[in-house]
Amino acid sequence: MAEEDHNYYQQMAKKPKMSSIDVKSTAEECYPRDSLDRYGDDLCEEILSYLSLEDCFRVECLSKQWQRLVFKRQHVFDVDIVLMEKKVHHRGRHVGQTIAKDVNWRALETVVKKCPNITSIDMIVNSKDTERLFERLMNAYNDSLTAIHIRFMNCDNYM
Amino acid sequence: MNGEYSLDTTEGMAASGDPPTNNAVDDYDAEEALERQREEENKIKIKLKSFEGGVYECGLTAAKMSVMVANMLDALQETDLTKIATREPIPLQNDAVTNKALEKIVEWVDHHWDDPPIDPDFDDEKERRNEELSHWDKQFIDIADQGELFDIIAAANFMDIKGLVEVGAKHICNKIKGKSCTEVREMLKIHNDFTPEEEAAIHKENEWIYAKD
Repeated sequence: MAEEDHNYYQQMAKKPKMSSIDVKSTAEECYPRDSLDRYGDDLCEEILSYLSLEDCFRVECLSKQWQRLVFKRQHVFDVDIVLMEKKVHHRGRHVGQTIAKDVNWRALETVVKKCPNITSIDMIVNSKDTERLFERLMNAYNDSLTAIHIRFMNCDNYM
Repeated sequence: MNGEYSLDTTEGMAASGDPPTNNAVDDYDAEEALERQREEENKIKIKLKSFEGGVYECGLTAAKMSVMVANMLDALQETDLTKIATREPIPLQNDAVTNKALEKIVEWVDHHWDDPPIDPDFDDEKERRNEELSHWDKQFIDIADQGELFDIIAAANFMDIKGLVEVGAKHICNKIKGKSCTEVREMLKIHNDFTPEEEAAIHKENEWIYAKD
């Protein structure tokens, strides 16, 4: 009975039911135990999927594996990350939250290029660029979008 | 005995002549019964064997949080669950499942066995992903030896325990947050396989994100 059990488990273990098992090649075995490089793409992708979009851009340069995986599971594009604070002093008064922001178009193109799997967009309408921004985003993600969240801001510098 | 009790309650409600409420009570009872069954099953202890040969006992419901273990147990087609306890330990044949890792994994599933199951298709997926780790999980996963931490996550991934992989992933991402590239590379011991030119090109493309600091 015990022998049977053992054989049975052995067989089961050889037939993995899930796809995310790390199959270690001989090349991978040389990675140190405490290096994240030891993980295969599936597990690494799973871990990096919990990063914020902003952090993804910070760590893309870590290794080719990270570059390949880091944006794959980024589904939400908070447009705020490509907006720049306008360097305006409104009659010497600090206007804080209500200041209009400019779109950093080069940054926007970088996001569109690197994040092909966006399904949801968060944006604040507080800039004269809103229309052009909206058009560009619809153009880039028209086929995959399932949601757009728009907040309207009462903005002093809206033109 | 429990079954008889719930049946009595249902009949009592039916006598008052209110069919919709009756259905609701049925659902409620079914849920209660399932919960009780899970609780009973968790009193049955099964044995898991690490890659290094260490054997660890674990409640049946808790052990089934590992989809891999659940599938293995299902395939046994054992109707008398108490017999499962007398079987040989289930060997977990992946070198990440060290004694230390398995001991921690058993500790985690024993604490989380009555969590609601994770349904990736469910609407609150996004909410759950953004949720902060509980105090207990934070303490559990705050492990000084990084090799051991990586063993636990790899072992949980091998055993297909989604909740625990999520705890590990969130912990690592929390540690990455706000750190520079160099700091993260040093911390997670990641080998830089870019040429200096390639790395400089990525930095240039992404410089706007650093400018936000």
